[in-house]
Amino acid sequence: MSAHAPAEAHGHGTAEFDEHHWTSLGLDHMKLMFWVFLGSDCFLFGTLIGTYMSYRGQSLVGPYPLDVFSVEVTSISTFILLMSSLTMALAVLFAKTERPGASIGMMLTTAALGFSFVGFQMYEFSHFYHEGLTLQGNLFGSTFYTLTGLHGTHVAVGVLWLCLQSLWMAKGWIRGDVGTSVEVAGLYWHFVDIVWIVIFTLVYLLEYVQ
Amino acid sequence: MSATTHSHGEHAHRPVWHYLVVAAFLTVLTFIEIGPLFEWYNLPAPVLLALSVVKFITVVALFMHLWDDAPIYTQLFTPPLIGAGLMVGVLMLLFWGYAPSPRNDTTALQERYWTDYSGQCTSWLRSHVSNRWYCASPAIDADRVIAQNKPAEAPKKKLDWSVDGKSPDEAKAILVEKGKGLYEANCQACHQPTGAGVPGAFPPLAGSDYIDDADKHVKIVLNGLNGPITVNGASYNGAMANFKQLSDAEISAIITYERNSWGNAMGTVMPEQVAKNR
Repeated sequence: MSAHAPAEAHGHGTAEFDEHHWTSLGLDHMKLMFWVFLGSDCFLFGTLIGTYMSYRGQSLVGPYPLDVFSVEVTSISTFILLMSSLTMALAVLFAKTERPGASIGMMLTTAALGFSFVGFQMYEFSHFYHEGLTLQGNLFGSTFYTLTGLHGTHVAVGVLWLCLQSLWMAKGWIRGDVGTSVEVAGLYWHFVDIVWIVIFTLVYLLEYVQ
Repeated sequence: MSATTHSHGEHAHRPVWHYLVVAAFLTVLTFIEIGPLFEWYNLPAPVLLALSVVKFITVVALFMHLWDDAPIYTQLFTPPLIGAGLMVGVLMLLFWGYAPSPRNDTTALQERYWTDYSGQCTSWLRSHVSNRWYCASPAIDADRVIAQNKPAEAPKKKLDWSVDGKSPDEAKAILVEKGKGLYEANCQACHQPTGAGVPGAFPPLAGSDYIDDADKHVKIVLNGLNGPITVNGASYNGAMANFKQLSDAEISAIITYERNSWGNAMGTVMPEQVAKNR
């Protein structure tokens, strides 16, 4: 298992092995590690979701969730993120089936959808702020902004990642397997989407349960 | 490590229509979920939670390909996911359940805090969603709280009591007695009947290390106080209105009551001392 074969070895049977970064499991180690990272990110979001849920309904002063939530904004941004998962999945499919142009197109579409999600969140935050919800004003504000702010940051990082991934692909700068590199970006994107599925339900939907 | 190994990383690619069907399925579930938002119908919480679990699993299995990929990925991801879920559950069990839900805004605790805080509120907004009034200026907004609490024209009413010419012990007894009523009328909403304050919001007076000095105590009541302070090691960042509309005798009564109640024994503050600091 000479993972660090010298450069001269390229073209002598081990080149492909080097380029693809296979682990001894026969799996791409970048992808493998990325799943481990996603596992750790579960804990990161778990702490904040747990905190939000623990403090849910314990704010002594308003505004309370139902005073500020806008069902239209939330619904639209949720659909946008959902659709971005579809375009991301297609981007991975196209990258894996040797259609880099289509893949880049889908990634940029995904990035645009993600960007508009972030835009909706910024609108939402400023709207909430003007309704009196601040980071330090009450428990709802503190836990809400921290949780959804971290999620929004994840989306913003994903947008940046997809833009750079597209640029790198267009320029042919990606070393190793292009399909796998897009797939890893896709894993990140879908993870951000499933976190939103949880946040959407726990933070928003449960407020409307009778 | 040859071509056979590499085939682990490859799997039969699902066709485009497959992804479209998955996305359509997720869209339908999301439409079902948002029904209660628009009051088309109601869904109980367990149904909403189940829907989100189905969506979650669908995305993980079919968009993130755990269904098709080597089982090791699922084995790597599932334990931390379950761990994080347990952590959320444990946190909720530990800290949830003793406070009212915002929806039940008639519960006793909510009412109590509502009453206590509403006096501090200077800016009221009505939510177009819940059609309910709420305070848009938490007590942190010092200037407005103080401006609001400033009396337009404080009618100087003649007191029916005085400590002029009384002996120190008599004066103290009168001040404590009169101070109790004045405390209940002016101070108790925030500092509580026990003088213990409200943790995180209003500092305690009982056993407070912040009011060691009587002149400092007088100045706080006369001028109000805002901004970050530390009392008995705990931080507060709020706003207290001034009470300069009260007479020297009334303020001396309040302060003497505060300095000699709930275990405090910090001496008498006579009206002259208030006048000196005014």
